Amino acid sequence: MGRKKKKGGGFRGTLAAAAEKIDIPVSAIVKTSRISMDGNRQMVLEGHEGILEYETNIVRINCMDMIVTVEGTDLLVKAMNPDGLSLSGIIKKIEFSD
Amino acid sequence: MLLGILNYLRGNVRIEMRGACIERLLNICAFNGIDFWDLERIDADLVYATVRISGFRKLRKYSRRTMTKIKITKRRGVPFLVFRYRWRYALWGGALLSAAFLYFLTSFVWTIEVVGCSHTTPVQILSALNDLGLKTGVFKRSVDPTELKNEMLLKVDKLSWIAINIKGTNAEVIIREREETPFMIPKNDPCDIVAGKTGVIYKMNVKEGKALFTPGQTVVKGDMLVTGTIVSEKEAGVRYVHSLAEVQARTWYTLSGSAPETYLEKKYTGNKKIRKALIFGDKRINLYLNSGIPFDFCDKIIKKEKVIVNDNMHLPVAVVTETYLEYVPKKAHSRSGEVSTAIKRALEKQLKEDIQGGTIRSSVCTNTLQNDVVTVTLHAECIEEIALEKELNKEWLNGVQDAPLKK
Repeated sequence: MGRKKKKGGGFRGTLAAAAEKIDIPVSAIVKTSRISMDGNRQMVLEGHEGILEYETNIVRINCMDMIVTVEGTDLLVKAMNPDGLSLSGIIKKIEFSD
Repeated sequence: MLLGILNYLRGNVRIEMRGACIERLLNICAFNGIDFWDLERIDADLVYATVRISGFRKLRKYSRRTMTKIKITKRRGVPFLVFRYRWRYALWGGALLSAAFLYFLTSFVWTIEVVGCSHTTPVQILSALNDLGLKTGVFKRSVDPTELKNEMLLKVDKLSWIAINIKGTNAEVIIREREETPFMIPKNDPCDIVAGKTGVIYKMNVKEGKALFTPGQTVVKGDMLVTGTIVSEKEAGVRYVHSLAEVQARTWYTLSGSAPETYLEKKYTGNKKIRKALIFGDKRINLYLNSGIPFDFCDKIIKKEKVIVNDNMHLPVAVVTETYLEYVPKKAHSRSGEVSTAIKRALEKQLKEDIQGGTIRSSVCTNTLQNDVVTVTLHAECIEEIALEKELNKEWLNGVQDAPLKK
């Protein structure tokens, strides 16, 4: 039950769990978000559904089946388009929540 | 950097967005293809962002929906510049004119570069090209490289191949020269062998033909050494053969050279004068007033630099720098033996060229000094190949029938 919940539940969760079982990348089966970071200075998030909150010290981003909260100082959205967004500043904390 | 230039060319505006739910407007922008960047949060209800001009037009529609006020704070980029200067006709006219002038200038050949000369000189090739219509300042379209190539091959015998590439304002002419074939008589044609030099025969090895001399005899240049006309003793008639022989002879050479022992040494004073001039085509414009030679004794160093935009674009403009270096002439005496050694070395080099692969058996060098002039004389005895093929002389037999063959 706990596992199902972690994957977001439903059909997508089942697919992700199955992909994990047979050792293939989850992103190949289910559309998921991808985060890449350059140290703690830059962050690129692909596959988002919009910004929920934008302040200089906190940015909350709506992803497929979770909300990513980035905390830091001087946070700046460098660019944004339907595919992804690029964030810069000093990142201190990243939190995932449902 | 590249993206910055591209954004500058397309033009962008910095906008101020003020409203309660700016995040919503940003999401709408992102999902409706309005690119924005450099987002800056100033206050709880104030955000700065940069968008393209096209994006800004679309943005206004959505701003009303999200109750956000939008104000332009800064305009950047080429479209705004163009808009600002739109009434300055002279500026646009000038830009257009200079572009047209540049295009006009690039439709001429300004420089011709000749590559691959070894026996011919670039001047020969250039003058031939000039006669056929390719010269500096000619209209590019009037030159047909293919036709010119064929005409050049017909006009200049020494060429075996030529390529003419007109790139930009530069015409590159690449040539390959014909190898000169040595004079040879075909193996099946009868021939005689004559002496190429005067000397005493040292060794003779006749493979074909009849020898007219024996080792030890003296021959003069042009003497027939081996004849290709064989007269049968049993009266079977006359037979002609291709003579084949190696004939080595002892030859003597006397070479001499002279040079003064004192020479003028240049002592530079350090004074110098630099003059510059501009060359347009074949017109020269001096960038100085007094054109006389500035010093009594001086070296003149001329440096010509062409104005080159890139590899393919050469302009018909050159900058000439003339540097005059003053010196005081001083009579100097060279060290004893230095001059004679130099002359001797030059004479030996000359001798080696003369005997063409022969050997020097012995050589004697004598020096004389008269009126400050050293004269070196080199006497040398050499052994060298003197056999030369020559077309058969059929008249020869008539002259011989009266006199017996030399033995």
